[in-house]
This record gives sequence, C-alpha cells and structure tokens, in this order.
Amino acid sequence: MASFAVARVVVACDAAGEIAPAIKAGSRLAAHWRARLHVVFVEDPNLRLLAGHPQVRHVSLVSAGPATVAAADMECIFLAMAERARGMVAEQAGRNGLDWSFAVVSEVLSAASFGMTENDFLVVEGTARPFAGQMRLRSRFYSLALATALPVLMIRPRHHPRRIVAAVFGPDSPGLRRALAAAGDMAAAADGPLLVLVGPEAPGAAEIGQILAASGHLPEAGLRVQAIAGPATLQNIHESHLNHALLVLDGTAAIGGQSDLQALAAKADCDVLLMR
Amino acid sequence: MALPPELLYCPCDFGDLAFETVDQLPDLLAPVGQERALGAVQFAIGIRRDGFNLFVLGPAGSGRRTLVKDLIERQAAKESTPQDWCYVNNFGDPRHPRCLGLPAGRAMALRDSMRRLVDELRVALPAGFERDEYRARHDILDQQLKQRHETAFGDLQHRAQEKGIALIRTPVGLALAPAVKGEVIGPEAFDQLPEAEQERIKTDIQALQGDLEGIVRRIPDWEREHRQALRELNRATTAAVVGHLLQDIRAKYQDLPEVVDYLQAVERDLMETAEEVLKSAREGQEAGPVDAIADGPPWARKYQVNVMVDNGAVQGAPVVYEDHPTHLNMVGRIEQMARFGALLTDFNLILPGALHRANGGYLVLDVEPLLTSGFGWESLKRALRAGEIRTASLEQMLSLASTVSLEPQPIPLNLKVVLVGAPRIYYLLASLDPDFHELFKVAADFDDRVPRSPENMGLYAQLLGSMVRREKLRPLDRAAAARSVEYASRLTEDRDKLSARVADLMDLLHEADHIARRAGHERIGAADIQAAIDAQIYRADRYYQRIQEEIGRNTIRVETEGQQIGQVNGLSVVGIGGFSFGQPSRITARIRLGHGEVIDIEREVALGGPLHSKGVLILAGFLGGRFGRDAPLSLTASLVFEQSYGGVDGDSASSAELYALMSALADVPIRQSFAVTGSVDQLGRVQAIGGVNEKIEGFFDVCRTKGLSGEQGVLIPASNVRHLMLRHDVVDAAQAGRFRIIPVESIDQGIELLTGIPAGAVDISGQYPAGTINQRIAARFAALSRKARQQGPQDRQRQRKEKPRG
Repeated sequence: MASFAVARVVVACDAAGEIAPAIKAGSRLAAHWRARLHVVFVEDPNLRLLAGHPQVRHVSLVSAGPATVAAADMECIFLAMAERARGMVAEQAGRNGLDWSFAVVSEVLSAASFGMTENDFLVVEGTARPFAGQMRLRSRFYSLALATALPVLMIRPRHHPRRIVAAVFGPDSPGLRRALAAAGDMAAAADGPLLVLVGPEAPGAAEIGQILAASGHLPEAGLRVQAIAGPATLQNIHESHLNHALLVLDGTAAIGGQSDLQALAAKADCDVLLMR
Repeated sequence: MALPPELLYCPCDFGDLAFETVDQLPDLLAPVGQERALGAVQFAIGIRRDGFNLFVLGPAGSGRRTLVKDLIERQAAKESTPQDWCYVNNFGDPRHPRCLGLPAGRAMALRDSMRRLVDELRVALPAGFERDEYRARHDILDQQLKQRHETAFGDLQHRAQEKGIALIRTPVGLALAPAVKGEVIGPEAFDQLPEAEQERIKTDIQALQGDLEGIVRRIPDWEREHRQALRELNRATTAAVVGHLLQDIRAKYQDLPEVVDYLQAVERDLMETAEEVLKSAREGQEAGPVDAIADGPPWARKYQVNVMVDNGAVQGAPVVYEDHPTHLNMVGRIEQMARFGALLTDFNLILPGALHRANGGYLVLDVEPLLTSGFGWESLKRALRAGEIRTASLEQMLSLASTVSLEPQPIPLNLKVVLVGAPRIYYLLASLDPDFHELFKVAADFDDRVPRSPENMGLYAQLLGSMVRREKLRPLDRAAAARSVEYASRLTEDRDKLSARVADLMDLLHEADHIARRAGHERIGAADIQAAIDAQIYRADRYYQRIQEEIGRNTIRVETEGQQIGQVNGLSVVGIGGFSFGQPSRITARIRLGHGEVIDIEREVALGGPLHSKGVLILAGFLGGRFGRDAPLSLTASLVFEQSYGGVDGDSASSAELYALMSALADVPIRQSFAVTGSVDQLGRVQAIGGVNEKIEGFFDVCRTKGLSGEQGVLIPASNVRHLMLRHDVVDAAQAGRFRIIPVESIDQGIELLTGIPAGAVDISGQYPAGTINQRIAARFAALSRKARQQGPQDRQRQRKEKPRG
C-alpha cells in the first residue's frame, strides 16, 4: 500500500451506541489490511453522572413513565455491555484470524485516552443508537472524529455500504491522494466501482485516474468521475449519490463544519471516512 | 334302440352362407341372440332419470362388459360434452374450497390464466413498487414521519440547549440533565450552583421532561399513522397492478358469474397478499422441493386453479371404466404434503376420482371389486343418493379422524352408472340391499347361450371374423369355423344351443392360431381347431387319465362285461379347475327284512348332498307307490357308490340306484356292459341330467381300455338326446357298432335293457305277468311282508335298535 498504511484498527464504542456494527466493520477492515484490532469500550462519564442524579429522569418507549437509573444499575449496564463487546470482538477476531486486544476506559474522550498512535485507524459510530427508530442524536465520538489527526470511519447503525464515493474539493495534495487511495482500496475490497465527485479546483478525471493508478488502488470494477454542480461543499453533493454509500473525504482539507457533516450523513444515510 | 350316429353329434352346416374364410364376412355389429339384454341396455342409456342405472348381469367371459361399453360409447358420442370442474380457494374460509363449473375446455384456460397472473404478479408487483412514483410517495411518508420526530425532538433539544440542559441518549432511553457547555454536571456540582439557578433548572427540566414524555407518548400514534398511510399506498399500488392484470381475465369470463365472483375475491385477497409477494420477490425466494411439487411459491398456491375434470378434449359424454373402485378412487382424495414435520394440505391437493371423471357421462364398474374394495359400494350409493360428489377421506367418512382437513364444496353429480357382474351378485344385492332397486332400476340379463339356428350360426361366423380382425389372427376357413361352432355347442352341452361365452372362443382361436403358425398354415383349419381343443383337454386331464388308469388296473373296480345282481354302473361328473369329466362307479344295493327304509349310505356318512338324498327318497317313493299300495314294504335297503371317497351330489344317479335296487329285489342280474345315467321321478319316468356327454365319454374310455365288445353302451334319458355332442371317437365307435347310446323313457324300459327280462305291466287285477321283473319284485315284497308278520313286536323292536344308524 503505497499511499497509506494501517497497523492497527481501533474501534471505540460505548453504552449509548450500537456495539455490533462498529466492531464488525473494524474487524473487516483489520482483516483487509492485515492489521491488529483494538477495541475500546468507553464508560461515558456523562452517563455515570446521570445515574443517581436527583434531577434526571430517563424516558423510554418501554416504561410506563420517566424513571431514575441508580448508579449501581448504570455500573451493571457498563459491565454487561463491555462484556458483550468483548465477546463480540473475540468472535469476530476468531472468524477473521485477527490479533486483537480489548480495553475499557472511563476517561474524557481523546485519541490519547485510547492509546492511539500514527498508523492507527479509528472506527466509531457517527450517531448514537436511534430512539424510536428515527431520532438519532450525534454520538459522543463525533467531535473526537473531527478533532483527531488520524483517519476515522464514522459508520451508521446499520452499516452496509453498497457503493464507494469519494468527494474531493481542493487541488491535488498528499491528503487528497491519500483520500483517493483509501477510496480506491475500499472499492476494490467491495469489488465495486468508485465514484469520485470533484469540485472545480480538484484534478480532472484523467488526473484522478493517474493518481489512483500510481497508488495501486485503481478499482478494477471501474472509475467514474463526476463534477459537483455549484460550489464544492458537502451541501451541494446530491443525496442520491450518497444513500447507503461510504463517503471518503480528505480530512486534512476544509470540508465544512461538524453540523454540515452530520447533517449530510444523517440526511443521506451514509458512512463517512475522514482520511488523513 | 341305440341312437344312430347322426343323433350323437350335430355338425355345423353354414348352408348358403358364402365364404371361404371368416374374414370375408362383415363385422358383427350386435351380439348374437342377446336381444333382451340389448333392449335393456338401450333403455337404460336412453332414459335420463334418477335411479335408472344399469346392472349388466351375465356369465364372465360373455363379452358383456366390452359389448356394453361399445354401446355406451356409441351413445355417449352423440351426447353433449359435460362441464369442466375445478376447485379454487375459498378466501373467506380456506377449509371449504369452492367448486366451479365451466363449459368444457374452459377450466384449463382459467387455470392457465391464473398461472400467468401469478407469474406476472411476481414481476409486475415488485416493478410497481419499484416505480419512481411509488418510491417518491413512500419517501414522502417516511420523511413525514422522520420530520415529525426531528421537529419534536429537535425543538425539545433546542429549547433544552437554550436553558443549559442536555438531551442525552442513555442505554435505557433519553434523559435531560443539567449541563455546562454540553457536559453534564454531577449532583455535587449542581448543589454548588446558586439556589435560584438550581430551582430554575429543576423547573425547566420538569417542563422539558413533560414535553419529552408527551413526544414519546405520541410516537406510537405517529408510527401507526405512518403504517396506515403506507398500507394505503401499497393497496393503491397493488390495485393498479392487479386491476390491470385481472382485467383481461375478467373479460374472458364475463359470461360466467361464478368465475367473475371468484376473480373479485382474488382481487380483494391480493390487496392483503401484496407484501408477501414483495417479500418473496425481494428475498429471491426460490421454490423448494415441496413448492416445486406444489407449483410455485407458497403465496401463489391460493391463486391456483385445481382442475378436477377437463373435458376439453372429450368428444361427447365421457365413458369411464374404473377397475379398482375403492372409496378413494371413486370420490377422489385429499392428499397431504409434509413440511417441517407437519402434514399440510390445501385445495390444490384435491385429486379427482372416477365419479368426477365420469360426471355427465357413464361410469362402468365391475361389481365384484366394487363390493370387495374398501367402501367403494357405500361411497357410490351415497353419491348417487345425494346427487353430488363429496370428496372426503375414509377416516372422515367414518368419523375416525378429528384432525383438521378440508371439506370441499360437493360437486353436483349427474351420470349413469353401469355395473357389470355375475347374476348371483345381482340377486344377492336385490335381496339384501334395500337401496339397490332404488338406484339400479334396470337389469340387462345376458344369457350364457343362444339358439343354434341357421341365422345365429351365420352370425357366429361373423363373430369369428370380427375376432380374427380385432386380434389380428389368421382367418378361419369354413371347416374351422364350423368346428368352432360345434365347439360352442359342446360348451353349452346342447346341440341346439351356442355358447355366448366369447372369452372361451377367443382362447380357442388364439391357441389355434398359435398351432397354425407353428405348422406354417396361412389359415386356421379344422385340424388346427381340433388340435387346440385336444391340447386344452390334454393340459387339464391328468387326474382323469389317472382315474382311467386305475380303472384299467382294476384298482378302481368297474366291470364292463358279465352280469351282477344288485350292481349297476352309475356315472357321475367330476369338475376340477374348470375341466369336467365323467367317472363310472359301481352302485350296489342290498336288501334285508325291515320297515320300508332305503338307506343312502352316502348320506349316512355325510358324503351325500341334499339332491342325492332327494333322489334316493324319490326312488323309495316309486317303490312304495308301485309295490306298497296294499301292504307295507317290509324291507330295509342300502345303496352305495362303491369306492367313492368324495362327496356325491345331484340326482342323476337315482335311476341307476333304482335299477340296482330292483335287481336286488328281483334277484335278477344286470348286464355290466351298460352304464346308466338319469334321474327318476316317483312315477318311474327317467328325466334329463347334466353332463351327459362327459358321462358317456367317461364310460366309453373305460370300455375302450378294457376292450370294446360291441355290447357296451350307456343308457341315457331320452330327453338328453338333444344334448349330445360327443367326441368323434365315440361317434365313430357307435357308427361301427362297437358302442351304443340308448335313450330310455322309463325305469321299466331301462330294467328290461339291463336285465334282458321284460319289466311287466300290471293287469286289471293288479298282478304282473309271471317271470317279469315287476312280478319278481312284488313276490319278493310279499315274501318279506309275510316274514315280517311272522315276527313278534319284540323282534321288530330289536331290529329297529340294530338299525345301522350313526
């Protein structure tokens, strides 16, 4: 892999999200890149603070009314979910023949708290577990994903990308090349074509083909390059391109704010890979 | 006097009927001499009234079934073709499938139309749901729901943020908590806040909490409304697709209100099944082995048409012959298929029976298998009485099973049933089954013999020609045809009759054809026919030859010369495996002083049948009537078939027994060169018996073995002369004067021939001429009577006690 190398796939999950999709996605990527798998279960301090808070009531669809959650109950929840996560990691690693590790942390979220280093690849859920099937609050990993300097894959609760789409807005750069190489690699892994959406300042179709070929990730199933109508922003990417897709972005370039990215991902129901 | 040879055998003469071989004659269109039966058949098939079903009775092998079937098929061809019948799903109550009657040939078309509908639905319905219009409307509905959530929660979240309160997803739901810069503050930190601030936050959280609960309470309603809206969208989309597809089918069946009604039910049901169809299409559901049998995916089964009867290719009315008429083969069956360990069924697994196939036409059944097969007769009667076919398993019919099964709507029944069977079964049913006459009002009684008139002999030759053509046999020449006719006469034991058992004749022709082929003959000649007859006899007569051999060796004692008192050669017929032969036996009589009893030893040891006993009692009656009018017969006589170890029945030996008894009484010997057959009445008249040909031939064979002297012969009843169709060797011997067949009318005539002494006629004074047989017998009775009177009562009592009874 000429343009990027992944030594370890780090999956972060917590009790507010769905554990399985992130672990499965991380396992697949680790197997694809022959990388180690490290899973971190985060005991969210905020959830711990909520437990036993006299002012806080939990509202759910299954209980008759608002109810308090005792601190001991929350600890039980943490314990049970961490165990479930560990079991799932063991099963996925066994299935994919991975070298794996598992850790539980209860610190403020940061790349350092996960022990992440260069050549690590982070996989998180972009949104918390949906409430009533529709309501999706932003996950606590979202800000971490934007803040870190490492590549991050933010996946949806139902992670089944059907196509790979890369969006490049700026001129040729190492970040752009890494993003294209990652997108080409993902497309090859999915045995599907790659769609590259380009802004006015981005390289042309031929150049993009050359970049991909040079990186060794030109997908065999085909490459399509399409210009973005209007200004090169996330909002201008048509929703139809992104539904059930994995969107690969150059995380080192300006791509808009958190809310833009979240709105796009939520609207289009797509996974987002911020390549750095 | 001995009969002349021409009375011993009646050769066939076709007279002016011109043919060299039978294949030159036209086909026989109607059976020979069965006008009565034919009239009954034509009446039965002509009348269309309940209960006028037909019972064809006649001997097996008479060709009655083939004949009746031919007649019915000819009639059926002129009749209109009945309806098709099919079963379809009853969408309101699947346990009771509906039957549909359609004009002939249209059931299959409906079935094909419904199959095409299902095939098209598998493609068109998903396509309808894949259309942009549908997806757009679906997306709108989804978006509306999503927006409801987002609006409600977004607004709540926004208000919470403004008030420094965080909306947080927790493992058990949602929670509102005091926060600073998005981070939740714990209870301790909260307590550090100014009291007023704490109160404000508490109040705000409480208010937001109420709003959150309100949103959560409304979520099920939003989802229900969303589902309802989606269902209506799906129904509208389905209706558009289904309505279009059904339109063509409806147009084809506008003239059949029941079918139109069924199609409306299909349309209504499809509205509810659309999701299943889509799911099946989405999952790419492949038909499993069971589905392959059942023709399609599970959801499609209920829209299929199960054609029970397709008369599309039938010209006229159907004629069905069911050779295994069990309950299930008559009324059909409901099959089951195993699925995941359970047995399932539906209307597609209803199979038709013979009644379905014959509905509107004719059903031909053999009555014996009908009565002996499982409940076939009961099922037939039930269907005929009810006028409908109710398909149900035997367990259901007998209320033996309580499992859930189908109860298909009965199909109206209108057919003519023709039962074919032996006369004894007809008479048994008529006497024992009270329903029989009500359901089978017409009987076609096929005779087993027809008159041997010149016309019928000509028709018989035509029959031979038809057989030869049908069976692709070599043609019979004129002599062979004549010999076949003679054979047919011999089968009836009557020179004036012909056998109607066509199967026997067919067997003979097949065998003669085989012999002719091996001999390289292009035609079947009389010699081939005779060889076939001889071969049939040879294959069957091993036991007969053994008897003859033992008689020849005197192991079985039969005398054919000399004279014996109280002994005569009687003749009986033995039947083994369809082959009959005559067997001579010595019948002996002994007398002693007694009380007028004639003891039948065969009866005493339970070897004599009732008819034989009757014959013995009749001859005792004759003796009593002739010689005991003025005084009791003071004798005890015993009669026996010597060396007979099997049962004896029939009265054909009663004249022989009487001759033996008269010989013993008169003390006059009987010529052993004669054998005797014939029954006798109480007046001394000799009466006809059966098997006369076999009896004569049996004694002839014995005499030939022991040596024909010219004195030997058989006394037969005069009324049996018309039955003589003797073997050629017997006729030849008679012609050469080496064997005699003598008809007798009375016992007196017979005893004279047997003893050579006049019987003697009674004179006006009641006396017989001196020296005659009757005079000697009368004198013997008188002597016995005197002796009895000389004995005292005590002696008579002692004699009674000594009576040799078991």
